[in-house]
Amino acid sequence: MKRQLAIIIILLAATAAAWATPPKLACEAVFARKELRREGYRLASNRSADNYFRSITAECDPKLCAEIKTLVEQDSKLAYNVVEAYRNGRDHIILNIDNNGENINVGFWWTEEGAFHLFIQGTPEAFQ
Amino acid sequence: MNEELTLQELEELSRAYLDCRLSRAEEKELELLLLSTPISTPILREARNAMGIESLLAAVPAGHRRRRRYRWLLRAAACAAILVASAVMIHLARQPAAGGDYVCVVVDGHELAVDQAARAAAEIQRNSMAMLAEAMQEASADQTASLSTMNEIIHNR
Repeated sequence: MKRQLAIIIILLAATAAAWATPPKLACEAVFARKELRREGYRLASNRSADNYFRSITAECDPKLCAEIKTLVEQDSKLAYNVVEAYRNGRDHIILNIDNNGENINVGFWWTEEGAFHLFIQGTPEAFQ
Repeated sequence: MNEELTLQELEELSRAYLDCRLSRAEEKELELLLLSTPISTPILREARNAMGIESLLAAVPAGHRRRRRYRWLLRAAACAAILVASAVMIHLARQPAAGGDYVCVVVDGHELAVDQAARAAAEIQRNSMAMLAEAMQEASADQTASLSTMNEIIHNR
């Protein structure tokens, strides 16, 4: 009886955790980096009851740009829609990711010189 | 059939059962008696075997029989409680954090004042979303144009 109850609890907890956990975006980890609070970078965070937005803009950091590109490419596997484009001297990747009916937008553009802008946006529920 | 039967009377009835001397109703009552009593002798076991209830009694200790009837209720209640608790936890986890809005903009290592940050964040988001919309619209327009060109080529052949 105890073992059956324990199995039921574990199964339910695992199901609940899997349902409640949002897709872990690889590129979201970039926003946690403290070393980007310096010259040449702009970090923005805008969160409210119906909006979640975070972005990072760099004037020139080819190394980080390449790193983010890899992370965004990883995230593209979660996306139901991916747009890649080259316009106005910039490469673009746009991702639309669904999380339990809530949409997450990821945008990333970069130049050959290493300037870039990365943002993620959606409803707060999509990230909870 | 009296429930206060002695062991001897029970054994006698069991023998009668095995000899097919009991009526249908008496057989049924004896079956219930043998199910409800923990007493076990060779003749009672034989009768239980013939009734096909020996294995049931062997699997369930006599003292647990009454409790077993309510186990399904206990399990159902436990499952329902876990489901309700999970639903409440998920609902609470999905609520927006108390304290409301949060705006922060750091430019060249300097954090902007709240008013400035709110304006800057709104502008950055506006530009970002405009970029997203333009890129998606252009991609969609390119796709439409490409398909249209392809259709024209196919049509003109």
